[in-house]
Amino acid sequence: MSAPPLDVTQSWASRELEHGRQLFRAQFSPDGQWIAAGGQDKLVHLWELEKEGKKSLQGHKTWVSSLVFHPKEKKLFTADYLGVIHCWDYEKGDKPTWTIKEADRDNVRALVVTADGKYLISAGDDAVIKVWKASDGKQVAKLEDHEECIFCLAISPDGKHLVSGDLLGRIRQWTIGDWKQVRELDAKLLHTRKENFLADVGGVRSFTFSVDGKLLAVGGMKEAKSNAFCPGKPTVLVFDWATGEVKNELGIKGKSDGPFNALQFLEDGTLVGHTEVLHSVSELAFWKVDQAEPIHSIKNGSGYDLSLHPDKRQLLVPTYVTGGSSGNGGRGKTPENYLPNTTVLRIFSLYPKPEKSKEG
Amino acid sequence: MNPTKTSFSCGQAIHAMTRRRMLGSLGGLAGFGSLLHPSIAKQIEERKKQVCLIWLDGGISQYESWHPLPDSKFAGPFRSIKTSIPGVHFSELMSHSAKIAHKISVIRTMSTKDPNHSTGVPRMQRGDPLDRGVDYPYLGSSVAKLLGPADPELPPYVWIKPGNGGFIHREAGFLDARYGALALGDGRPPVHIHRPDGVTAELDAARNALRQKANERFKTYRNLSDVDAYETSYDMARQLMARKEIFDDEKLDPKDRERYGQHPLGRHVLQARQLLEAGVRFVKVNSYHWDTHGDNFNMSQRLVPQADQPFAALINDLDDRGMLDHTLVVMMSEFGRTPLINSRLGRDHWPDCWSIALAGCGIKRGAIIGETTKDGGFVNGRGYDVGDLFHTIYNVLGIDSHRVRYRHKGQKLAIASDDCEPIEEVML
Amino acid sequence: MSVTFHRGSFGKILWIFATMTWGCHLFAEKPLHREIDKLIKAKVGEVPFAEVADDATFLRRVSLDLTGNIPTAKEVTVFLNDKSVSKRSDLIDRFLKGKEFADYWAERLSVMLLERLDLGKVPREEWEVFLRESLYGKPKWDDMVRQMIEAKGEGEARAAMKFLGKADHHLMTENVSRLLLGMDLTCAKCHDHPSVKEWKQSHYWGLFAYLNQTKQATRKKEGATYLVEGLATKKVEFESVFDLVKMTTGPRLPGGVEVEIPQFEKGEEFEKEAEDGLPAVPKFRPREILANDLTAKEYDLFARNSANRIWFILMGRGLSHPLDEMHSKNPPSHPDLLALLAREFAGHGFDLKWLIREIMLSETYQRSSRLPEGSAKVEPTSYRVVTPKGLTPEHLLRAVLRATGNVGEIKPTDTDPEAEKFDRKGYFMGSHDELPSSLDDMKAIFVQTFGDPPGQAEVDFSPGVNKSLFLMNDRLIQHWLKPRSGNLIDRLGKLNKDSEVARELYLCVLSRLPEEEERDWVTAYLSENAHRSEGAQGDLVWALLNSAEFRFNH
Repeated sequence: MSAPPLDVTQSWASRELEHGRQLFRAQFSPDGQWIAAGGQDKLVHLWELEKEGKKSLQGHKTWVSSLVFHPKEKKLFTADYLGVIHCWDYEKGDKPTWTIKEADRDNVRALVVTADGKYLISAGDDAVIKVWKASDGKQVAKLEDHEECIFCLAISPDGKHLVSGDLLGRIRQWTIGDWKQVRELDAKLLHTRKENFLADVGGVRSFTFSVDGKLLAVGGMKEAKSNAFCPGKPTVLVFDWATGEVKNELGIKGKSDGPFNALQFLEDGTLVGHTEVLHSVSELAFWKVDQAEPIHSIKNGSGYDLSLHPDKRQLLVPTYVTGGSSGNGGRGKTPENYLPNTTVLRIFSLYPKPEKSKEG
Repeated sequence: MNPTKTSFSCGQAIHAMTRRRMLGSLGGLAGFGSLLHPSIAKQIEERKKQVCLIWLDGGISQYESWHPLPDSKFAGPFRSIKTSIPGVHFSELMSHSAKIAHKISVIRTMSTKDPNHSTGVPRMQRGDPLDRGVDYPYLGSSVAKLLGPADPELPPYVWIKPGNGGFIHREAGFLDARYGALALGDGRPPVHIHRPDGVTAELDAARNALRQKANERFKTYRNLSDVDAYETSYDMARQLMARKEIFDDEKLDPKDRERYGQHPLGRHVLQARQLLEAGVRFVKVNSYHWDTHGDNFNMSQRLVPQADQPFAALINDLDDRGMLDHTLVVMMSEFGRTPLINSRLGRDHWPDCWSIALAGCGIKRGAIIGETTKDGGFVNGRGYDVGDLFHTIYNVLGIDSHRVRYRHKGQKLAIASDDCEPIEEVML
Repeated sequence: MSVTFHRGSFGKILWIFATMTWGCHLFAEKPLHREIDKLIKAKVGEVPFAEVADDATFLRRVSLDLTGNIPTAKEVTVFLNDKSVSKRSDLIDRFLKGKEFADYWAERLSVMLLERLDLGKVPREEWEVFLRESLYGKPKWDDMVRQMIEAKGEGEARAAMKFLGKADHHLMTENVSRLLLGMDLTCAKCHDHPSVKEWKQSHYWGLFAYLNQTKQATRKKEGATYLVEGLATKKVEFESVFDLVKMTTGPRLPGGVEVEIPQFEKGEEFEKEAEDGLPAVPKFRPREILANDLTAKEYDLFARNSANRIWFILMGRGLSHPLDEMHSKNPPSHPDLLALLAREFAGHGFDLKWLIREIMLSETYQRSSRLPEGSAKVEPTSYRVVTPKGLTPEHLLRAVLRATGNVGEIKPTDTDPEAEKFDRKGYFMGSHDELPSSLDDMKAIFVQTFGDPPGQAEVDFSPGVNKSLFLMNDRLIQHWLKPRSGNLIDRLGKLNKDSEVARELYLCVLSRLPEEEERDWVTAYLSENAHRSEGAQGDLVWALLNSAEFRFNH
């Protein structure tokens, strides 16, 4: 059956998978049969979508910070805040096939796999990008030019370039294979440090290339007001890949005050992004990138990742769900009824909801 | 009821000394005039005990500092690390304090009522006494009043803070305004501590000699404590000018700066050490913007070490200098942070169960006080209110917190909440 | 005859006494200022009193107390050379008529009534205009206070309501009781005062009940805010934190009779409909009743407090001190005198200038601050000697400007909202090199340094390290000590003889002629420093500015 035509303005939440703890990363497998997600409970959770099965893989000893599927093989790479990277045979195994320990000494924030499947690339708090052989985890290269925590990585659609973005709003472009730095892009707008701040706030938090490789959208937030609540204006900078200049700056109309945690270009050039907000409802936003404001928004709880199904018509968002004890103080709660906040993996279908079948 | 102004019969030099002692460092009326029992007042006149309060305004997260609980369902992503106390762990973000845990004590079950900053901060710093319709003094002002200055030539209460300096009367509450804090904005001394351009020390001495001559004439047939107090304030001012190097952080050893950290809190805690060494009775150091409702983990990662490093350096330095036994060090906020993680990956306010650190004068070494539930967040057993903390602080400073009373407009006022008790478990 | 507080039905007794004693003023034999001296002397009996202050001291004192500034050198020499017998009373009368009196007393009363807070929607400038205009001519204190409480004025005339701030009910209750009645009832909000038996919780709530319908409302037409009253239908409820017994009260002045809250038929409660953003005006308006009853001349507490505060401003200490502790456990130093002043003040229609004048004509006021011959020790409350008063922050600024001859340095405040404001914070942090040039900016700097924190009564002299550091080292003051067209240093530099320097110096800074010893050491200092005469002259001025004699109104 051919895919229904893309119409983001008619998007609807078509499926929900609940989970009793907070998850911050969720991705579809390349064949669309699985979802892998990880977060606060240290486990790697896998849902087999057709069979409605779920399993959880133990191995990490702290929060799962990032995950990525191998583009060709049935492998899943996951990393955590200790810098440990596991490679899983997610269909069959329940133990990692191999592990990189102390990859960074520090948190790993981002993982990508090159398009040809040869290399796994990680980056995180120690500001060093590490390249590993995807087959066995042996280190191949170290790319050092960032000075601060690297939050995200992306591979260009032609498979030739890697981009990395950090806390200070600096983006570096590297060639894949010889691992040389070729260019810098300036996204410093997404970084704030006012005189009375105790720390840098914001940074480059998400990347997505347009399908034709001509644009790079960079997500974060600008004009952070403090390093306490860290509220800012969710912002996307759309770079012209050829010139390296910012073509457009996108925002939202709603109240969200956190960064764009995830961005995704669709095949028709629409850009999708998700942000977060304190104690309120956030949004999934859609833009035509020549206009600063979204052409469409869907109210959704705070979301931390985006993953596009291989059918290009479904979008997965791990979404925050409050347990009802939010806000300051215990206010009469007891250890028994003070429960963690949870997640719903919400899948949005990017086309009109089919009418009910005429049967019955 | 209000101490009347006394007149003195002569202006001879020998009486000037006595007068100054009686008037206290900032002049004015006798320091113990508004305490209830003069005999108690004598008992508590302890010249040596000093205090350093490090105030992390906004609420440091106990999960990301003193009480990590990595297996808790509320845990953050950071490791817990072993400390120098067997079986006790702090967050990896407290690596320096972990090494000197055996020198300090941590109370993990502070349990207070106020979840708001605007009311909570003054409440905590005043000891949350019962409402008697008066503004209670902040801890520094109380200690300045109850113990007086440790060195009569130095102000008893100095506050090192970012932003503006000045003389902060407000903290004195119903006590006389002079028990307020001399605030050093960004650790800098009052701008007026410097002699004006072109005025050398000799010139300054010469013109002050003229001033004193004028005052002597004025006092010949007048003997009033106000005039004496005025003169004493000049003496104090000149002493501060003469001792201004104690505020001058340029003179600090670069190695010390490295150890404490070059960031504002590091610099300020090192300056606090300098003032304590010089003999200031009470030094408060403030750091702001700890209220991490958003991005708590990235922020804690960067903030907590900023408190950990100088705190540990201070404890070590005081210990090395033989000052730890008579200097009380307290590091705290107005509450802790929620076990639950919110939608901005932050933690909200949590007065229900939180942690503070204490060390020094009269405090046990290496005591970790208070049991919580397995996941943290709730007291399992004994929780302590800030009133209990204040009783503790006063008692380790040698002040009987249940007997000593302020006297104000005919009311006898407790110095710490009547409903509370000293925390025996943390006291020597 | 003294007014005393009795437990139990003191209210009734108080009223009887008050009415009787008020009536007695008609039979006063001597002018008030003589009576003052008589009662002061009677209290201590046959002991030496200080002499009356010399002319220069008197002039400086009166000038500060009536115009808020030291006299000019010229005024000093004119006064010293004036041979007329009535020169002192003439001086007082002249000052009382002048504009400076209105300006200064407006400032003084504003600090007393607002305690340096700027609450509510009335701009401070308008409030100051209200005070000034009231004080020009023949100000009547009861009228002024009545206007402040009833707050009925329209447009600019509404400025009197500034006293009630933003209509916070508890704050208004506390301010009325403290500032207008001399009773600090703040802790009586929660319970009867633990040691002052006559201050009860019912007194607090009785006052509260006059004020708790008051709120702010904005008239849309001109966008101005007014204090309106809502409909009062029932008594106020309260309970003590100690015994948790519920009580009620309607509006009632301490010592007064409870005002009954009338019940109207529905639809009959209002006399004017809501209009243009302002709510309907009820027929029963307790705050208006308070304005009238509190300022009535029969209401002794108001008269006593008012007299006490005027005495305080002129004498440096209230007869009852602290000023908001007027109760039996804190008796006044001279109960008869306080009663007399209260009675006479009320009897003269609360004529402010009349009371000030009478106090100033007394020997008690005019006495020197130098101890009487042979006396080593004197209780200040005996008034055998005058107790020096500290200069207010504004006094200090004006006096330093006048003394150093730098009044010409003042530039008008730039009212252009786009104009760059002087960075006052940066001034105190030492983050820039500029100096304030407008009087407003200079005042702000002096007030920040020398004033008490906002919300506190500015009563006692409180020296401080930061204040002394300021006077010694401040850049602005150093700037004023440099020679500039016609200022003191400039003029001193142009004088040939050291004796002339000494004379000019003392006349300008200390408002008197130098004594011989002083001329000698001025000369000595100048000759020791002949190589830097301008600097030396600056040193001399600096020394006198920083001396106690300058700092105090003695």
